Amino acid sequence: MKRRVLLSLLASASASAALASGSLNVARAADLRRRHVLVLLELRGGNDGLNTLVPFRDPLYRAARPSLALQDALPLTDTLGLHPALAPLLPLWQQKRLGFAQGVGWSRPNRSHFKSADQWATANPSGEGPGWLASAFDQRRSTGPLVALDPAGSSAMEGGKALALQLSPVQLESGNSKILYPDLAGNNSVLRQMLALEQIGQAEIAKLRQQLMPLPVGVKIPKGNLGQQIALALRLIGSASCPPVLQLAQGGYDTHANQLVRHNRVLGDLAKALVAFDTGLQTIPNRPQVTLVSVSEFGRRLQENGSRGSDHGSASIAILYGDRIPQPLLGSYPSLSLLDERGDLIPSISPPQLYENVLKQTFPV
Amino acid sequence: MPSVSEICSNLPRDKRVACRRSTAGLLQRQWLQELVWGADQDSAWQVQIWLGVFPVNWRQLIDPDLLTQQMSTIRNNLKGTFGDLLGAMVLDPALQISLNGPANQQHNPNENLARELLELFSLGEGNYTETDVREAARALSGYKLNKSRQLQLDPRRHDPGMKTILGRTANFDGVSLASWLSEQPATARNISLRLWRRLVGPQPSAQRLGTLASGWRESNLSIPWLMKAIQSAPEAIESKRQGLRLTDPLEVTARSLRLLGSRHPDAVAIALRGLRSMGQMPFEPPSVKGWPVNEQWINLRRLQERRRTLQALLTDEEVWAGARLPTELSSNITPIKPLNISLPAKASRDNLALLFTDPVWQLA
Repeated sequence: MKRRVLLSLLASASASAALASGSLNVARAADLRRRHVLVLLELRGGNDGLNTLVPFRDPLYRAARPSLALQDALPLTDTLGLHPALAPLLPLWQQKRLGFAQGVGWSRPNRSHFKSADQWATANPSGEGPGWLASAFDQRRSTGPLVALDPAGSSAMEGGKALALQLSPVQLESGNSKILYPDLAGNNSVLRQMLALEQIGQAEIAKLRQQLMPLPVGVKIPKGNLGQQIALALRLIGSASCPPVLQLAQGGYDTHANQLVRHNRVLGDLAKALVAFDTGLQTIPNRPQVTLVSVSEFGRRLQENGSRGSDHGSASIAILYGDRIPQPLLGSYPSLSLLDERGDLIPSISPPQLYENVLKQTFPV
Repeated sequence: MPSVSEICSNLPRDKRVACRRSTAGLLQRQWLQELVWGADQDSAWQVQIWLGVFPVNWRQLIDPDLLTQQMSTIRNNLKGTFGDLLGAMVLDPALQISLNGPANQQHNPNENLARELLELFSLGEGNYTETDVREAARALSGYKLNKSRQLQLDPRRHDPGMKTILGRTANFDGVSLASWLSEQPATARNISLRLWRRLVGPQPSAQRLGTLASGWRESNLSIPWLMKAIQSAPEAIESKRQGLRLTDPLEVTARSLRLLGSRHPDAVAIALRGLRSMGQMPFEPPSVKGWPVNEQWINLRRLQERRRTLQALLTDEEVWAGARLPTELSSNITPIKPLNISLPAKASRDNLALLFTDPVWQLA
């Protein structure tokens, strides 16, 4: 990191600290409501879009998936239904707080989880360069912080000038560590940079931790990692200085075998967590606007495999949730008859287009 | 050297993913152990450094065991010249496959290998034209893996015509191209710089780099000459004395494991899991540029991961039970005084925790 960047980070960190120490007055409450929080939800493993938002009337769907086709999808439109495990989300759909981007993906995506995750994180087919959120914040000259709540962090947030932090539920329990001042480094440049960065990070984390709201009363947080992340997200959103970007992650979507049971379980956990998130948000009086978008490496093949599962495919769906969902269904559902040469669904929205759409709503330039 | 023999592509299709994963896992475990406790650590670390110059991610290979071939080729060239090493790498199956070499055919060119060869493995950015890339791709066309898993020129796929590369027109193939590239002054500069950054840390002055590169060319690009010349440069000695270089995650992990002395399998498992989150899992370079060096590693989350992993090594009871600690933590185990603990100190668990979480422990 360049020295100039460090200095500007230091300046912005102290400026926002001064801001946060002021009392919460009326103007501030209005200001909070004008602000926006973008929540990035990473569904790791490659979520099966076809069995999430289901083209349940399409005979091609049933033909390609003799053991996986869902018989009991919950109709949202004439042609599309929700996986039954997502039933708790139906009220959110009716309230127009839930939507889907259809046919999202790279055309002919790389089949590797690793490469594909990099492509999504960077919004670049090469998979190289800074994360898309890091770039967006640099472009807006905003310093963040961008906060990952999953212990593995999020490469979408890294590689830019904005401060990318990780605040996992575990870290909240550990005490404050001793602050080491950059001056201790003398003229050792690399040590000085490390100490300066650690100092900023520690100060930001201490500030976030100090200002955390208690968990809203009456919200039932589901067990498991995602539930813990949702709880922490709610406490941050309720605090006076919620970071503009939060990341959550849930694993278990790589359903090569025995998909019905496994997909049912992860989607059920996801639905419970989103309902808890929504219930929690409703109880927070003055809070920023919230938009959530889900990402996943790829969708899965239309044709099921020989292990009652599905292999890595192409286009899938992205979940959109929040206070201002522009339209319930973005883009068009991929055709099941017009496939690419590998037999995969053809995407109509690329990841960069999805991101642009979300950023336009949340952080217009 | 790691030894794995499983050839995953010989297995039925549904067994290959598991085979690749387990082969890679075995390689990673063996290699970490060799870097930490091996009999010839100096050579092992040199191999690791060159694996950063010619990086291959096992996920790009149908047969990750090809990496062992790449590693022994590198090791066999450590006492030789860079020209020979470059020639061997251009014909290395792992490196070629990772850069779509076998897909590059006369009538169906693929420039991936040619471009990286010019940009990263030899001349460096700005020292060649797009025409050079196209012509180099023609020279590299038609290599194919034979039954004994060596790359061989297939005359039906190779472009036999004349190619003009960096001003010389000849009937180049992979070998003569590598040799022509290694004669270029830009190559000596680029490779000296890459090694300097990894071994010394801070950027060299233009003058130092110039002297180093021309001296290296006079030595016929002898690899031992370059290693010695870099390490005995005044800046390198000063960097070592003052701890001016930030270690790679692999180095600091190896150093911590060595100090702890526990060879419990959990120690290796914790270290490997940590290396992935710190960004330097062996055989998983983030890109064809290899791994970051020195200040490029500075990233808050990754620095946090370094501390978290070293702490995890200390909190595991079984790992701790196997610890073989020195009688005391002497003052020469860090280049400069640590900030959290004054040395020498008793080699207790608490003191090790203070040392492992000290930013100075991260310096080389």
